[in-house]
Amino acid sequence: MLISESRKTSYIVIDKDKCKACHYCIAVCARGIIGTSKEINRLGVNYAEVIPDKAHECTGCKSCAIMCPDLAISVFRSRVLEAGTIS
Amino acid sequence: MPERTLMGGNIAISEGAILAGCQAYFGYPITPQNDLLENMARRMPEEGRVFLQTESELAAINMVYGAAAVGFRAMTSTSSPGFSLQQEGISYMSGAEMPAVIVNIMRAGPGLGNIGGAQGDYMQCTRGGGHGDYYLINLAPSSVQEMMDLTMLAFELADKYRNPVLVVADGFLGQVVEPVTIRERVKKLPEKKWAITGARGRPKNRINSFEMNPIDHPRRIKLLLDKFERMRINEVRYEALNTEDADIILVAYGSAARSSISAMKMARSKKLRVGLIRPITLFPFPYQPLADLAEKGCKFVVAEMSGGQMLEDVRIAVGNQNEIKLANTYGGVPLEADPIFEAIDLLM
Amino acid sequence: MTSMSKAEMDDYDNVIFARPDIMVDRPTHFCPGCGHGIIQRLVGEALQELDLLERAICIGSIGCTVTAYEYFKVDGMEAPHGRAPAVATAIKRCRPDLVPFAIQGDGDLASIGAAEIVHAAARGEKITIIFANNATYGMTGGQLAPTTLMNMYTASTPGGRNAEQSGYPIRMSEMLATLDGPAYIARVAVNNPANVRKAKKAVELAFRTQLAGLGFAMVEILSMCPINWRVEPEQAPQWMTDNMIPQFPLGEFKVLPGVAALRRGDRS
Repeated sequence: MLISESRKTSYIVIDKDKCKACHYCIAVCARGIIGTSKEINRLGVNYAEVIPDKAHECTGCKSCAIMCPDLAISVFRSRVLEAGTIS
Repeated sequence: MPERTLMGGNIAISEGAILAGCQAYFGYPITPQNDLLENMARRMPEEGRVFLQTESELAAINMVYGAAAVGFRAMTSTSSPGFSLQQEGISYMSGAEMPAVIVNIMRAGPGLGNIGGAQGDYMQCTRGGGHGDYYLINLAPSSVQEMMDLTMLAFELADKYRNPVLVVADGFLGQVVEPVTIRERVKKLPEKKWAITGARGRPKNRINSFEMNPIDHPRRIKLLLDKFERMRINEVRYEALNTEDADIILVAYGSAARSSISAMKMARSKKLRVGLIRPITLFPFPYQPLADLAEKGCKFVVAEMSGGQMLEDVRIAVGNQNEIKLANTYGGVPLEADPIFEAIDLLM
Repeated sequence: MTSMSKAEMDDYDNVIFARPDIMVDRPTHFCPGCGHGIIQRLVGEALQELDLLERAICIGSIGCTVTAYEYFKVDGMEAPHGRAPAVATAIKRCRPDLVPFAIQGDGDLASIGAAEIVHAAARGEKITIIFANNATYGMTGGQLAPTTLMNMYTASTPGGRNAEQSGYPIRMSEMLATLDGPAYIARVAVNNPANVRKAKKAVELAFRTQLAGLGFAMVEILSMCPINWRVEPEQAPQWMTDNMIPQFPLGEFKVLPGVAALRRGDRS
């Protein structure tokens, strides 16, 4: 789980072993923060994963999780205690 | 003093079911059991229980399945063509280990046939009837009192084995009116921990017959097969009349048994030593008593209203050495005493 | 890393989307991009939000929904092909306190089960039917379904569906809405997030219709079947927009006043 140092309010977690690489999440993400891994999971597919450099752009819209047929994505909002710090 | 009254055969089944605590009835009109459906339509709401006339026999058996799944004593009644439609549902219920009572008031077949009474569903009833490895206990009444009593027994056996039980009669029996002793109401119904009643304070229950796993499915079927074997050992019921000294044994059930008794009396009045084995369970079939009589050298007359179906079970019981004659009618024609007596005469 | 449920993650950051607790944590048996996965989750969300763990009865049908009851923690049973509405009818009539629901495919509901769904609807049975319509017989390999589109290739209409051979697709929602028994009938789709959000509202309303005892409720949900449509999963949502929605328009076809009141939030 990668969080950049700058102020961040939302992030997603993808369960790679549930992913079947249908790419619905990639298609619906308005910020394009999801890409395809070069690795394969136990199903033998290149699973979806958050692009590290883009993770901080997640808006928490949940479109990816809503479209995922495999309940592979969870969406979070982090508690920001001070500017720039995640607890 | 238990109440005694006159009652028609189909009504006796209906009232017997109510006495046994039947909580849900689903049925579709078909001759010759419409009066059973109609009696339920009037009486079940009176008793505060569930009644529904369904859109088909297919729907009826599936509603019985749903009611059984929530732990209710559930029942349907039909006649031969409707019984054919219900085979899918019955197979599912046996596979899912659901208790239920199904009543088949047989009429002439195959196909639309006619509405006269018959016994032409014997093979279908006693060999499971639908797809897969399963059997149903078949209870075959021969009097209006038995229509009531065996229906009550059917509910007990269904719950005991978690399997549908068949009450098999014919159209004539359904209409016969005889005096009946009204039995006592069943007060306590068995607990059913497997029922799907809402996952309250327990892990979920699941009712199904589907099992893709090639290790688990044979195991599951083996448990069912063991169950049917226990039925064969523990649930055989039959009546033996005048068999101790008999040379000729009549084998008959339902309406055919009534005529057989007349034929037996005619024979005895002519000093012919004739007895009767009347199966009350068609499955499990009373092979042993017939085999014992065959060993003593008896000859047999199978009296049935079909092309000769129970005949095959008698042949299995008796073997190849003893003579068996078939006295039968079909096509909805009642079997009277005379042709049975003629068969006895031919054997002498 | 497993997807944790809302309850588990509450110790950490605020969860704004996770697997409903009422759903079993397990992978699905569906193909990549199959709409059933989304539909099942919407049902799980409705069951969760309406607190139905102890009352719901999941009836699995034949086809890709055959193992539906494995995905929820509620009691479940299997129905023969097409018969779920009859099974649900009996459950509700025997135990009106329980909440039976079935997820049926288009072959199950509109082909072999056509009589059962029509009569359950006509009788106004207080049950909830989720009708997953993907215009094909998915589980058995993509044969003709009652909702297959004209000229559509299927495994049993290899030349494409034509009227002379196989007639025309059936619009079940419109047809059932002509009956007096239904209280709520709607058609929605799961091919984009906006539609999925609307679908969720429809599913929830269908359950609330049952809870309020208002009558028969059915939600027809257009679902993706990339494998049998012979498209890549990424193309399936657009395929639905281009081909299915013109034939099966989205919308509501029956909304009794009581149901509309539920939707408005009236407490009655």
